[in-house]
Amino acid sequence: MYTPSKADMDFIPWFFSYLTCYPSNFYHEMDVIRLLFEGIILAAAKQINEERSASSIFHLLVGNRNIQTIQDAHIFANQHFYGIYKSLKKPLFDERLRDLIRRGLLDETVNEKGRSMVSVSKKGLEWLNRNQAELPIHYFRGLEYREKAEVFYRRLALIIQTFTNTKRNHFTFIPVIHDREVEQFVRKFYHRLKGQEQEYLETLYVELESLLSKLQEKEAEMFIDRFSGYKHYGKSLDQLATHYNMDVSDVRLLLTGIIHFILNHIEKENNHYQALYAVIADYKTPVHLSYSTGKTYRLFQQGYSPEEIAKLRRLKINTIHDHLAEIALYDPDFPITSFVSVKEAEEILAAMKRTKSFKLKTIKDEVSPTISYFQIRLMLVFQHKWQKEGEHVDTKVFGGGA
Amino acid sequence: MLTQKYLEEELRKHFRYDSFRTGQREIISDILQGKNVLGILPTGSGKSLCYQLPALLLDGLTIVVSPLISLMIDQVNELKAISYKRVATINSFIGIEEKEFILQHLHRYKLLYISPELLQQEKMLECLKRMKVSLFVVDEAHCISQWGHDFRPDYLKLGKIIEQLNHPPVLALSATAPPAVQEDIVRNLHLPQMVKHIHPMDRANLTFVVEHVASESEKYEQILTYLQKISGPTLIYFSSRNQTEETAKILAEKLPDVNIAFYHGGMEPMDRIHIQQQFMNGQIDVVCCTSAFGMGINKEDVRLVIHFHMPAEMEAYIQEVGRAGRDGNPSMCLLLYGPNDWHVPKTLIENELPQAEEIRIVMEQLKGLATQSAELPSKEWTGTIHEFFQINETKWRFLRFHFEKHGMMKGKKIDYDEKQWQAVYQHLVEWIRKRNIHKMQKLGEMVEWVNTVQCLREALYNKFQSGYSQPIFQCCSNCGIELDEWFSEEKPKRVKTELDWRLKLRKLLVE
Repeated sequence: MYTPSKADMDFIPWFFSYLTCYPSNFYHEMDVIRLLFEGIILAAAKQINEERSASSIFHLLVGNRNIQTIQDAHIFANQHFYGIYKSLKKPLFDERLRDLIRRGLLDETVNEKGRSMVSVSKKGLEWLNRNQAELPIHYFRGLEYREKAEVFYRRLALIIQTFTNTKRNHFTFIPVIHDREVEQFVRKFYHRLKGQEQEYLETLYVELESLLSKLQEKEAEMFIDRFSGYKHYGKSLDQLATHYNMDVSDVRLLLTGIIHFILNHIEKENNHYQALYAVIADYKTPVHLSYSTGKTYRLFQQGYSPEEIAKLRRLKINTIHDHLAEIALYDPDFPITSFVSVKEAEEILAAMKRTKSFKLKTIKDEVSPTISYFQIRLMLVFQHKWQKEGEHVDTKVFGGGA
Repeated sequence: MLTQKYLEEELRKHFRYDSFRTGQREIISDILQGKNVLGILPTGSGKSLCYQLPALLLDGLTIVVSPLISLMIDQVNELKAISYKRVATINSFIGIEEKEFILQHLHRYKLLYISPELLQQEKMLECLKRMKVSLFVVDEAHCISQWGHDFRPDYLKLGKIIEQLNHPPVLALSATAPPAVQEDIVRNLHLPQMVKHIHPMDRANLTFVVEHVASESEKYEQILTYLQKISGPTLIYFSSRNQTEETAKILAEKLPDVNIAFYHGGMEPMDRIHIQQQFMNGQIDVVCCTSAFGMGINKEDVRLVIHFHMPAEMEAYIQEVGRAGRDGNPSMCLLLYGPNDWHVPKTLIENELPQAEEIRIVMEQLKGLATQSAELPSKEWTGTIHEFFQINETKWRFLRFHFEKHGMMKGKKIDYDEKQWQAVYQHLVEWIRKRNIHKMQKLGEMVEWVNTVQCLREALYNKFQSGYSQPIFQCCSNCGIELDEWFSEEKPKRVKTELDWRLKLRKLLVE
């Protein structure tokens, strides 16, 4: 039985926070299980609560790169869902959304611009309460891992396939991954460990066994079923869905969640999981900033203040503030306290609570004129971290300035 | 240097085969002497070896143009698996970075697979022009012919590209090209002096069966009967992706001891490899698939090929049943035919090329643009150009090709001339009408074959060649077959042992 640690809970919306364990009746025998995907749509919709259109949930799940989507992920504390279902197609999403509305779990309203907004109905809230223990939502860390998890998994799959074959001197297998970057990594990795395949695989066994023990039996089994080895090719997503009597979207999402879960543990305790950590140790998640923002970011990292950067780049200070607000979306170590004092932060948070709004203008009207739009934008991104850790101001996040 | 012994040694060294299959050595020998060759070899006879071996022996780059991306990817994988490393593929599935990498390191490769669309790109051609191209291969060469079963307008530009590459020796290959199509290939490539190697396409080990059914559920019953009587790896072809999934599900319920999966082009790459290789590896017995499956698959012992839907023409049918019995042992090709089964291919034919009304609307829009800026939309339009005209990509590529050919457009520039445009419109409409009639005739032939009371083998092969070999086992359902004589082994019950996940992990990694 797995009990989530404090760190696992960071990304869990409040209504899951009293989750301590989850029971084993996850898999029923009869009907195809459709749970996780629906649960995720409901959970995300609950957070957004009609402040954005229904399709913003779609953009969240596929990990749309535009600033609005990323900012919304922060504002509504949906970071953990960001980009967890990249291959999701709009028609499928719409179909599921319609189905949830039809079953009365979501209420739909159409706003003045003709866009569909959804909120979780009373029935939907009951559904979430009833099923929350079975929804492994705390596995997901989308904003952090959406790219890394894929690279990690693809590398691991190819390493396992390669090593289990080469240790038997079997070199003529069809690789399950063809991706130049992954192939090159595995080639190097192989040359480094050539001759020690057996040892490496044994260590890998110990580490994976220890990690998978923290999951449910069926989850561990499903994760393993997808790997290919010596004269053995793993199951496709559809085969897994049939085998475990689950909806294929749920299979996909659950596997993604498991990978995020594993990756998180590997990174936190990398000296316990050296064989696995070696698969991803070199990887740096690319930061997707626009060209100009990237320039500002590099200067900022070198210790220049926003005013100095504006001068150097001959840009308006407002432009630099725009850049910094964008950077804050991606950089978890962004030194927010250099720009917002504890007092100002509390004033902004209070205004947000009072107005129940995330609109810049509405909040601006409610706070002292000395507080800028820039500071409000930063607080929109950092509100949840602040609320969680603000009482005992964490020195890492809120400590040192630039 | 080109002695038989030398070629056989090279074959053994690189491919670990002891001898050539019919036709291969003659073609390779001609290629190595710098001749232009047209090779018509039946499916599964090892066509690709005819350029894979020369590519290694010649000192420049061999370019292979192929319209089938999955086939290219499969072949590259297979070659890499046998340590044939200096091979790459450029197609629309690979990323820009990978494409750049390949183009910058072209000298590292002996063999480059490329799709016809990408070969048209100016930059691509510039890079290739700088290379020494020692052989230019046109795979699936029948695609160049309007009368072939898979016409691709992009193929018509190959003649010009060969010219721009300074006339390297050309090898054109096809499995299904009747004489009229062969002539088209030679003419469109501008290579009248091509040496022809035409080999008979009939396969003596195949038994042809057509079952007429009254409903879809009867098709399922038939499938169950045949699967129980004939054991061995089986492919079931469908014309719709959804139906591969549905049927796989239904069959899996009825036959719990048989491992059944489905495969189609909409699956993600890793899953496609999983299913293909499970089939190669004997982990699954039956694959419900679309025609996307099997192209690059070289499984020798496929015993049964079932067509749940009839293909639109005999050529396609011959190609698909050609995946059965490559090991030479008796194999069965079963076609299931229901009362209205010709509707689907008919609709596909009608929608393949633009209809008169669509052409008219596109030309109207173009005319509008011509009077404004005389250019195709670029900046203000963020979507693709075919979306602008609201037609699908294939149709737009077809129209663009013809508009350019008639000087109505060049790159982004549009040149309006009322009289000429009117003539082009008339010409295209007429051309498409003729082609659709032709396609419908091909479909008619297929339907006729399905309904014939004559010997199916004779009726099938006589369209393509004179004469055929006698069957080694049962001939066809019209000559009479005896299902009970087919090889059917009592399968050892698959012991579906459910291993604990720890044992599974142990088995995967350390045993």
